[in-house]
Amino acid sequence: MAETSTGSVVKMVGIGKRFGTVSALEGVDFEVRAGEVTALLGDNGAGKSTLIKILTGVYPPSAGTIYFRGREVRIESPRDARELGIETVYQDLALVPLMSVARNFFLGRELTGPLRVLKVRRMEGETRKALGDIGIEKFSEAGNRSVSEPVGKLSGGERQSVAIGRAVHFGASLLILDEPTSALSVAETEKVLSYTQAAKQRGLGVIFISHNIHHVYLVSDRYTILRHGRKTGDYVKGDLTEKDIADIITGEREK
Amino acid sequence: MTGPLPTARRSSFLHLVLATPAGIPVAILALLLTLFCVLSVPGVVRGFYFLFDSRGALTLRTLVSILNGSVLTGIIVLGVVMLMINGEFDLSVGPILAFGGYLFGTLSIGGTTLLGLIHVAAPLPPLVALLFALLGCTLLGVVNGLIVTTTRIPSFIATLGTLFIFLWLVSVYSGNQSFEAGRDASEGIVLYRVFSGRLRDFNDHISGPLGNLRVSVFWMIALALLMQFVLTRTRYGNRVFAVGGNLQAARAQGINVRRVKISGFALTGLFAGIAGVVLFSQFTRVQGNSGQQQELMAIAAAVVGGTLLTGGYGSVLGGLVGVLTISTLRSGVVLLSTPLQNSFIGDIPVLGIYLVRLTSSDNFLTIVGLTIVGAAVLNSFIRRRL
Repeated sequence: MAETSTGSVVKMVGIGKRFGTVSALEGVDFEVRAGEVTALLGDNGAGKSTLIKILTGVYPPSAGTIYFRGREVRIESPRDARELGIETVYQDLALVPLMSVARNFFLGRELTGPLRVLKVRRMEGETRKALGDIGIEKFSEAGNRSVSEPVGKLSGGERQSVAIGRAVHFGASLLILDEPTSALSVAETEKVLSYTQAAKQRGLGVIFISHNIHHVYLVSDRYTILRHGRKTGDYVKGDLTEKDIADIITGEREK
Repeated sequence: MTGPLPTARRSSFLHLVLATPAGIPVAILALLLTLFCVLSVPGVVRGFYFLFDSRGALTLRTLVSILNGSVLTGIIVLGVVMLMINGEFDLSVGPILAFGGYLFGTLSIGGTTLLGLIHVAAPLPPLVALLFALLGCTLLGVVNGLIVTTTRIPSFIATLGTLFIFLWLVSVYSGNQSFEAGRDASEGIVLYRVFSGRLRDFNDHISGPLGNLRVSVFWMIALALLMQFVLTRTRYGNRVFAVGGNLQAARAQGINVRRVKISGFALTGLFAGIAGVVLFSQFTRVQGNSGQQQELMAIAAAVVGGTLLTGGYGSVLGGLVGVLTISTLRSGVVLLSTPLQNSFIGDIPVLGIYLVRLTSSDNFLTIVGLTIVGAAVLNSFIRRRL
């Protein structure tokens, strides 16, 4: 799978970020390749979310350059990031709970006819099909969930799957999963991890951020570990055991 | 069923009613109307004798007066509900209504001096006056929207501020005077009747209570249906629900949150302006406090109609039913108080006087208050059960 595409999707070089006198990131290089899952690891305050917020246009970096598909880019707003094809799946932030699955799926890209009247039936049909395509069967005609149900009625895992399905369907080239499994049951976690694999097989670059080293270990091809705002290193699957990763994150072992 | 309403369990009629934001107020309204009908049965209680005339025609007359009395708040609530779904409030609709009334009145009648400076000698064509009035009110709404989205202070506070600022604006515009159209001048303007004439003005054959019904009732219903369609069936409505339901998610999906919010305030201003135009058309008179209490009545009606104070959920038809509920209560309290005072209850020693006071029409606001609290509790209880 990893060998299907090895092009770099995003490459961040020498990224630094200061908040006043506090240095959150210093000289961090970070690369994600197409068709691979890259894990971003580190303890609380290590700088993971700051790095991701720079990548998604929430903060501007204080130093460093970002290359997207080999081209230097400036990501100044979440909208810029989205136009590049960077999609983020947050634990809870990505969906509107009181709106239906189909309306969430097409939010911001609504299918409309004359006078911008919504084509509700078509949106529902396409949502059902798109979710089925990446292996989410619950919303099919035979499944026990309906795309016209409000998202608030779905379980955490079902919500994640809708958000991942949406990102994949609309041609994201980089999928960022921010703690996607932290609130899920074991069974649901397995499902979400399998959708991650489906996204990867479609040639997306995937960034997986999680505290759960076991989950990270299962799905990731590469690991980047941050500590106190600096990178301790990049590792390829097989280099490290789960125990090694934990030791590096906590600083038990400097490598 | 349309839109982001729960649609999973359509098994029973009861569920369908409860799953609609308007369902509960519709039920309350139906209950109140039934109560009226029951009370109208002749001879049930001596005290209720005054509730109907010899032909039992009172129910229709009451209904017409309820509808006529609902129009101003009924138009304002359309904007207010949409804005609440957006996650925002507008407390300044009262003076915007008055401003719309003054603009429409002064420009269509003419012969007045504005701000002590501009002398409008000749009346403008009524449609042009209408255009200016609606434009002016929409602009005030835009001002609200710009303040809220730029400063990011809560709209509750921002529009509490503009409530007083706009009141000042209205008093400057009007020179602190009420404005009244002369009988002769207003007779000649057909547009007034188009907005708020009575049915019998248009057709001599419609007589009796139905002839008293105002055209503005039909405008209110038409605008409500239009807004319901916009909210549940168009892209714009979809984004209003998204912005109010989860601002971060809407922004992350590339929706221009600021534009949606500002247009929500603008539409609220527009509807308040329409209410002002209707007010002037009906009374050919407007004064600085013409829109007083409208903002709170509209929010109350919206809440009774199932709209969430936290945004992301609601229905304009529900809001309209909320207005009708409050209007029904108003008529009910007024109609019930007099017969009770004249009945044997007033003769009960000591206690009688208190019972009469309890049922006086002064209690109307108390009853509205109880309805708001009750409806809000009921709404949230049922939403949790679904």
